[in-house]
Amino acid sequence: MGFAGFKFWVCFGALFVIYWAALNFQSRIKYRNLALLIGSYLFYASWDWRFLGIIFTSSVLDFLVGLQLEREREQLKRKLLLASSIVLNLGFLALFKYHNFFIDATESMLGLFAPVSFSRLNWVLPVGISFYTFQTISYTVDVYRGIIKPERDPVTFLAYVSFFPQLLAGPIEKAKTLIPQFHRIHRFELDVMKGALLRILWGAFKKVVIADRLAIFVNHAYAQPEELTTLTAMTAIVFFVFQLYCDFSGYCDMAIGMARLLGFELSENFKRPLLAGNIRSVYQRWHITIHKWFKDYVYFSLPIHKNNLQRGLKVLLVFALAGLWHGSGMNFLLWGLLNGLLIFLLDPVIDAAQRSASIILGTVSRGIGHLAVYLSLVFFRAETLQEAGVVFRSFLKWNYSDLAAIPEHFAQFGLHINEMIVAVFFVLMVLLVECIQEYAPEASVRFFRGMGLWRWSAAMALSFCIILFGFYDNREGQGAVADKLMQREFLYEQF
Amino acid sequence: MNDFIRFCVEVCIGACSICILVIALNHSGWFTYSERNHANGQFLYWWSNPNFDQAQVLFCGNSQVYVLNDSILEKALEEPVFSLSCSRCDLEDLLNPLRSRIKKNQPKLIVLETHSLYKMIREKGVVKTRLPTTWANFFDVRSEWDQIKYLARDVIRNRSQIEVGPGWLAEAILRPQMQWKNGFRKSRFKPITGVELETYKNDWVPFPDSPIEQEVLIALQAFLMECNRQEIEVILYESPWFHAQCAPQKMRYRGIEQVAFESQVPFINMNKDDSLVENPLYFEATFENNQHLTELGANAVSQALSKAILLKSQIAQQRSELP
Repeated sequence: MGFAGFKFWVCFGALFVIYWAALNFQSRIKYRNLALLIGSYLFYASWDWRFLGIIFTSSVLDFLVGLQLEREREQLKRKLLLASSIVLNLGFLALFKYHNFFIDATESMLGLFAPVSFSRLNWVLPVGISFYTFQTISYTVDVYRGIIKPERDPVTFLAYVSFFPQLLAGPIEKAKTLIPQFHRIHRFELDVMKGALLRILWGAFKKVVIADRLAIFVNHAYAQPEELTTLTAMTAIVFFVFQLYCDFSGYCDMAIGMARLLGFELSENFKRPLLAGNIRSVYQRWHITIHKWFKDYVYFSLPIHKNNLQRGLKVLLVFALAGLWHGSGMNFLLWGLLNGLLIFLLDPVIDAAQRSASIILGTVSRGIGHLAVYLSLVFFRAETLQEAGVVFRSFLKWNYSDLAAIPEHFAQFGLHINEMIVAVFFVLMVLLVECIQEYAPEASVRFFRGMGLWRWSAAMALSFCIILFGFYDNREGQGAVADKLMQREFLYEQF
Repeated sequence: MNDFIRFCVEVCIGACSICILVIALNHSGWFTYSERNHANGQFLYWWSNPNFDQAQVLFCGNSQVYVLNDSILEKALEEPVFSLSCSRCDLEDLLNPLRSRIKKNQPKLIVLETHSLYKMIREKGVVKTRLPTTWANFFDVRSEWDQIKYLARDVIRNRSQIEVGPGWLAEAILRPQMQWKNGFRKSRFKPITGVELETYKNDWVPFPDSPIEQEVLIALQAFLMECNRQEIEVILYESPWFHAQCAPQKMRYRGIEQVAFESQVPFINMNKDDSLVENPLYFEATFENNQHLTELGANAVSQALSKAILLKSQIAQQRSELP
């Protein structure tokens, strides 16, 4: 039961009414948090009830470690407690997510001496495990560092770890910002609620209308990379950038909007990354909470750098880990390393070009930076390094007749050329909205504070777009071919 | 609390507005316009069209028929023509309007296309009208979820038409009369392209021989006898398909030819005309079992068909006998 399902919204609607009508009162705050915990656990169990064991164990462990850290005065014991928590949390993650990666790596290394083969584990990856594991680690580290006091109420702590709007794919919330919100009564502010609803619709629009539409083309392209030509490969790469952005930022918009409807404030995870000035800025605006996590808990934990080379190595290490966080494959590792290298090598050039008086030079360098990031995403999307190689090699397969055969190419997998034209139109619309937010923020303030009719019209227009232009299962006629290429879940749920 | 209630009320108003608009769209029939699968709705349209009563030659069938060019047919046959055809309709759908028309005003000739000789599986319990007229009718819909979706069924099912067939939608809204002269319409189907021709050559399993069910042949024979009794001339014809689309339909034609022979009715099999079946520009780009004629194909078939009708029917003979 994901955010894109009708049943979820019926359940959320019921929870919303009960929450504000009966639970959000000072005398019932414990019951309110308990209701949120039960709701979150039911939501999580709707994937597989066995996943509950993992999240519960991980949460209880960190809750107890947090309490013990406060009592313990001896530094060595405190360090041991912290290490045990981190090892156990990362152990869960390694067991479920990285076991086959480690087996492959071990086999390759031992294979240098003699051929060996180990059996693989075919366990299902619990949804959202990477997100809540990092959230609980941040809690323990913050308690250890004395940044926060440990939470004493187990229900509140369990609700913090499993808070359903951000459970599947973030934003990764620090205890410092989220736990205090469980302790206070929230005010129902009409304008905030209306804004939250509009944000949910905007997120759903990006996911169902844009990302799921582009996913069909991208999934087909990466399913048969050897059939790609220059034109289709380039299209697949560009479409994947927008698919990934609309999918993940759409999820985050819905998560933030939903939390706001319950009175909670979650951190922003995206800040118009497609308009970023350089590569470093792209990652300061893209999946902000995970990059901040790596900065706070990895980068700053490493020894202070004395020169640029050391700084570069630290950046590389952080990006390599961030790459591996996304998935257990050499392609993810390479993707991370590549982006670290780009920041280290290309960013100074981009910055210098932008400092120069030439607008053209600045724009071109910014374009090159974005292009480099988009090309690196081939490693992110491909399942193996070989597959990524096939995609890159297809750049050499230029054929003029490809241009004329575009409609037939789309028709092969059940898409009509008009459906792609509409996708491009909607992508431009999203970019236009982001440009307004970036370059004319006063206009977006006016939109949210001005006449309600505009917001009402926007909500209606988004709702109709979701109904009439959304990509759902069971397409009719020729479109049915596209059914097996549909991207039903959010992309980041798999991490 | 007041704000909470106000918010809930506003959300409810918004949701109701969306629902009402979607139901209104559903009821407008715009989203089922291209399907034309409501034979009853078509019947009402035919009946209200003054040309229906005047026509002396009725072309009956499904989507293979309504794309024919009525100007070519009328010019060649020198008789007013009318298309009694709608998408997916079968013989059973056609018999009622045909009988009504015969009862009211006998046509000179009925030309029946044989792709409509099949028996449509009619789902039991699925209500045909767009809006349920009774509660019993409403709860007759299969599952609870379908009951909720029922009110917006056509919009949900065919909403991609906004993108893949905006022309249909525009036509549904504007209803230009030019497109609907005598029940015929201009074909919108695109021809087979080079890429698809390659697929036909290398990677295509033709649709197998599909004999017509005995039950349908019996119904056809009964209708032909009925026409014979009333001295109404009938011609059967099979619209062409691209030669690579299907395997040779031996059993299928044997069934039709036998009924035609027993009822002494001519059968024009246009699939025997190589100049028609081998031209990829005449056929729709599809690999489904419902290939249609393009505008060019419809014109060519209209020419060939009118020639064949003139050869086989008594219309031309009667005309030549006139002083």
